Amino acid sequence: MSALIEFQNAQLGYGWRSIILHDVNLTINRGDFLGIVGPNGSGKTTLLKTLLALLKPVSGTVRFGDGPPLRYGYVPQRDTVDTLFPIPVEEIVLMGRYKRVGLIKRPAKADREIALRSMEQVGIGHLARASYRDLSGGQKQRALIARALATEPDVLVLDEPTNGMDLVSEHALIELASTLHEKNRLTVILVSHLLANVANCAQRIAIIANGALDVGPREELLTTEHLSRLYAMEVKVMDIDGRCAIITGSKHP
Amino acid sequence: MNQAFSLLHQGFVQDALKAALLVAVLSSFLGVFVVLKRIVFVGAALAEVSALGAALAFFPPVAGFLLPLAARFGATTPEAYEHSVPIVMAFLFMLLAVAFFSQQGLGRHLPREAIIGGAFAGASGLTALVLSTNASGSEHAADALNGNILGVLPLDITLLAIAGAVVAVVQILFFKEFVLVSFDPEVARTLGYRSSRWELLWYLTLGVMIAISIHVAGTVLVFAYLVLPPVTALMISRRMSMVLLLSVLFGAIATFAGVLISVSPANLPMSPTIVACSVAILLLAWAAKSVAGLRKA
Repeated sequence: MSALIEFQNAQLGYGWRSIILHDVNLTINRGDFLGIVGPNGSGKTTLLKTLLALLKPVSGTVRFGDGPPLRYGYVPQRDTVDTLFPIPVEEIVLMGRYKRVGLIKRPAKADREIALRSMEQVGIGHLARASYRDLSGGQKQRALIARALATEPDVLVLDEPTNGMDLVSEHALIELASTLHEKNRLTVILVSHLLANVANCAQRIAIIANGALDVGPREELLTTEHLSRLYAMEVKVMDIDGRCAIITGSKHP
Repeated sequence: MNQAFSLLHQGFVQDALKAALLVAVLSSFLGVFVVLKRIVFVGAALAEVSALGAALAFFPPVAGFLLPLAARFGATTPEAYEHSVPIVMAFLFMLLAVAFFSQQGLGRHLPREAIIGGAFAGASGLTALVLSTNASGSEHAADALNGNILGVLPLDITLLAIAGAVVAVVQILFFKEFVLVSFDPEVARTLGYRSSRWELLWYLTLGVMIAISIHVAGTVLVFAYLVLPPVTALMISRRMSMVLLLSVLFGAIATFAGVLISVSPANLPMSPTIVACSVAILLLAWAAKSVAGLRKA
């Protein structure tokens, strides 16, 4: 399996005086589904920025494949996208094609077909002409995922995709991420502050706690003993009808 | 009104109309981005900083230094100096302001709007102060604030047309990049765009337009064009292309109506009349939208 992104003894942060994550060792292989979990303010954004090559490590190395630069299908947090712009969904999805279209040129018919296919893949083909700002939270998130798919990415990166969603929409979105991973054999990185969000879809999980990254296969990491030790509190991991459920108890004295 | 229409055939009124229409079309187009990017006061601050640059051209110690320099470039008469050096100074100050405002780190430690407000207030105060040191300061101050469209020269119109053409070409060529970087700068970066450079280029086109326009139309009218027609258009349409088209159209209609009323027997000052017409169009659009909303309900 070829490594798409590889961190080796990397210190991540904003200069030597503000290192957020220490000694990060992480390999993301082609076809992986990695879940990154950590509480707010733990350094998820720092790790994400480094993953997206927007931030250089303070020390150590981060390698991005051996071939041409990686193509990211990045789905930002929905709240960071301005809804004031009067842009139809189709045009937003087409933005994913802009780099391929090139400067000065307009998107061609083939680009519009790819955009439409991406919208259909996430179930919003019928909303192509709707204004982005008129969509529901779940539909907006799907539009942003469609834009990410339109880039024909090497890696699909979803940043807190279920923030502010109801239970049904949240479930549907996690299912969509799993389907995209399985059917399209996409490498998926899902960032969330909720462990439950990634517990049933990611093959590997990276938990950020106390300035360090704990990475491993889901089966190894999601155990009652491991999570109780990591969070210094009582955490129970249960299997309910083949799905992983995580319940927290009292804090360890 | 017949008298107003007959005055429209006069050369100086036609020149005023041409100049105001050029400023209206450019500002109303860029204003859509200004409103959507939520940087309305950057537009105002850029106009004030540019006006400060223009005012400094009349500040005796600075003028004493610039006069021989301007003469070397052919501006040997006071009229030539007054119609060239303030524009160059406005342009230079605009460049400094653009470099400052387009910094993405701006506002990390202080609220961004506080910094913009500070620049606006500082530039306005300093402009008034600088102009007060000049014998004809109050006249220049009035021109800087309200513009002197009726006193526009053919050279001003040519300059406006050239600057307008450059701004329009840049905006048309890189329209999709400007939309992407304005709408979602973070995703633009992950796609390989250097968002900060695109932002700088966009701010430059805005700055060039403002620096050239305030010489003709004054800060108040330029600011009004940047805000009122785009807001009216955004209220009516939900498609970017239509918003841009309507904004330009509303800017042009307000200009035409404002010039016509201004030269009618009412004899009103031109820039404020155009602003009033823009407000009237905004109120009409708002009323029409409210009525349409009530009918739907």
